[in-house]
Amino acid sequence: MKVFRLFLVNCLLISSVACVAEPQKESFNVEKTTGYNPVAPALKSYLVGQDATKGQQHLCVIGYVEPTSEGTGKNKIAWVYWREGNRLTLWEPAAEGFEPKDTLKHSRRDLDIAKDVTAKNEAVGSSTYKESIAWVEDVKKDCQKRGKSYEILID
Amino acid sequence: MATFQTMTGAKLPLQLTLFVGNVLRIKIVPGSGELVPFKLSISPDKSLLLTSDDVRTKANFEIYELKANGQGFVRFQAQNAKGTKVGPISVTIKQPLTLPTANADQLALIKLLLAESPSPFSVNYDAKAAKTGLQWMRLVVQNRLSMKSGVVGSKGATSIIDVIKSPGQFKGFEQYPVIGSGQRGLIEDILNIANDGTHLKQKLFYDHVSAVIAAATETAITDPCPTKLLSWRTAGADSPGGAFKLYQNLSGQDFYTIPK
Repeated sequence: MKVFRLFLVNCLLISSVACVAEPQKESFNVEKTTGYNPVAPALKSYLVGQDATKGQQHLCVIGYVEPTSEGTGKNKIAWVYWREGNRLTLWEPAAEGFEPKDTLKHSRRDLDIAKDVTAKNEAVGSSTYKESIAWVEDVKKDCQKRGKSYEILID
Repeated sequence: MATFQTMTGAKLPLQLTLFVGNVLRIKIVPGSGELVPFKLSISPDKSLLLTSDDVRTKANFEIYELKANGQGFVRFQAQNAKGTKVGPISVTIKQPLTLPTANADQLALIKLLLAESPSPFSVNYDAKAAKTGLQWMRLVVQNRLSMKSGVVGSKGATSIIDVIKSPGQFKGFEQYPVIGSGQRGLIEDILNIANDGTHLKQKLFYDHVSAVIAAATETAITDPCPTKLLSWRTAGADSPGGAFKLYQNLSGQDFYTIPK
């Protein structure tokens, strides 16, 4: 009986350890969300503004729900990964009276992955904008899994 | 009954606010049995100028283009040949809101806050939270200057500008007074809307810019964090790690401190 009880406790411990892995952020579909929809025209406008070279450009967009102010509310934000430009850009939903392309154009955080990324999280230090390569890769992978990919032709 | 309307067909308010330089396009839409053209009269006639009068006789409406030429208070109305009257509309014309330039440190901080803080372009913008968020962002910069430490990128800093220009700390500001193109474009567009009396969101942007100026120039609030606010990260970004610990999320930013 004693052995059985010990076995049960161990099972509970193992299962609880397995469960402490960080939960995935809640994501949402930008295509169905006011303030982002229609997505493709906004992405094209962004690419033109970035002087993207002619040809097919590949982007991925993932929307996340972020808690606000001590968990009293929730905001929707999205990250846009542009493969050819090697950029990761924060995209906040447009307010009434503005178009989605306006908030993408006016992003508060438009990262050049070649310059604004550090090898390790500790190297970010007191920077208000740099990110670690691991974090960037996580966003890109999650985008492939739960986001939406786009091919936009710049002609 | 003839009415003044916006170009989108909404009835023009009886009172408008414009800024010097604004161009207002409106139309007169006559009522049943009433005909264009209408003669527009402006009094006094120097602050607001009629720059274009497009009479669409077939469609029976008329488009006016008016330019706010100088600060003041004016009224305009219109009347056609049969004596049908429209208006008056009262217009207050103000000088555009500009960023204060007397103090170089404050001007740099204002531009940083405009570039980094959430703005009314987004539906996530909350004016009340933004006001406090701006004050906290000012505290971060101020605390870094007081600390003068490499841990917060302010070793050797002797001014707010030194802190703002510190390498790798605030995107687009390392070469200040030259600002990155993205940041510069955002600041310009925010100011343009704040000073565009014809824009639906003008007042919201004007109040936002005013809150930024106040946060940068008025006496700082008491730091809410016992170990001092020392950094911010855009909400949704990764945490800085190391000794930095999250203090609180507020107004689209995650604010960090270094616990003792």
